[in-house]
Amino acid sequence: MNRKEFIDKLKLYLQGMPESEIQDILSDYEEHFNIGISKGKSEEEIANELGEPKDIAEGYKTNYRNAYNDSPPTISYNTSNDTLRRALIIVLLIAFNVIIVLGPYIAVLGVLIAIYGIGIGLVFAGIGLFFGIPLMPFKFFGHIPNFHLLTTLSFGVGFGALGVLIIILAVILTKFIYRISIKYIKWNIELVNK
Amino acid sequence: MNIQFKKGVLELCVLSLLDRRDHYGYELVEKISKFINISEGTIYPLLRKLRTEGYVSTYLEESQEGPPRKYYKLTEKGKEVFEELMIEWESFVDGVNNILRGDLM
Repeated sequence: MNRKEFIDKLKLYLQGMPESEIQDILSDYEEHFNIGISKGKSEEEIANELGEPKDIAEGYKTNYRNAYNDSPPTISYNTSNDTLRRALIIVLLIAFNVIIVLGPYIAVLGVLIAIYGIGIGLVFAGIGLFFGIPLMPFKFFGHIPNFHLLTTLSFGVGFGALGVLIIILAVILTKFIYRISIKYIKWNIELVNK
Repeated sequence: MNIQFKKGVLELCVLSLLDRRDHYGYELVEKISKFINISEGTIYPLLRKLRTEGYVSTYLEESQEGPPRKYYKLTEKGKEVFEELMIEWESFVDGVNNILRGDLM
C-alpha cells in the first residue's frame, strides 16, 4: 500500500465523523509520511508499519463515540431500529397467532377434552355394567338386555380398563401439548426480544 | 498480548515520554515501536484521545526539514494522571512479580 492508498482508505473508513475531524486526523498521517520519507523510508514501509487503515479508523471512531456520546451512536441507532423492528414482529406474531395458530390450537384442545370425555365415559360404563347386573333385581334401569352375568361382568372390566387406558393416554397427550405450548410461547418471546 | 492491556501500557508510555519533554507524533511512534511491538497506527488515535481528555495539548512548530510539525505537550491534568498511573503501574508490576517469583506469603 502506498501513501495515497493508505490515506484514501483511512478517509473512507473514517466516514461518519465530522469532516474537520477527518481532515485533522489525515493531516497527522500526512505529517507522519513526510517525516518518514525524509528519513529515507519508502511509502510502503511506512504504511506497513502503521497497520491496517480500517483498524486505525476503528480506534478513532471508538474514542470519538466515547468522548462525545456516553453511549455509542451505533447502539442508539440499533435501539431505535430495534423498537421499530420489535413492534413489527409483535404485530406479525399476533396476526399469525390469531389467524393461523389459534383455531387449530383450540381444535386440538377440544379433541383432548373429548378424549378425556370418552375415557371417563368408558370408565363409568364399565362400573355401570359391572355393578348393574348384580343390582338388576332392584330394577333401577328398566329394560336391560339379558346377557349372561359373566359376559356383562367381563365387558364391565373391559370398558373400565379401556377407559383408564384412554385417560392415561389423554394425560400423556396433555403433557405433550403443554410442553409444546410452553416452547412455542418461549419462541415467541425470544423472537420479540432478539 | 491482550489489546486492552497493551493500550493501557501504551498510554503510560506516551505520558511518560511527554513528561520528559514535548514530542512530535513521529518521534513518539519511533521511540515506542523501538521497544514495544505494536502497529504504529495505534499511537495517533491514542494521542487524539489524550487530547480530547485534556491530558495533552498540541502546538505547531517549524522544523528545519520541511513543513511545521505538531508537537504534543503534557498538561497539568495530564501530569497528575501520569503520576497516578505510574503508582498504579508500579504496584501492579510488584504484585505480578511477587506472584511470578512465588513469594505468596
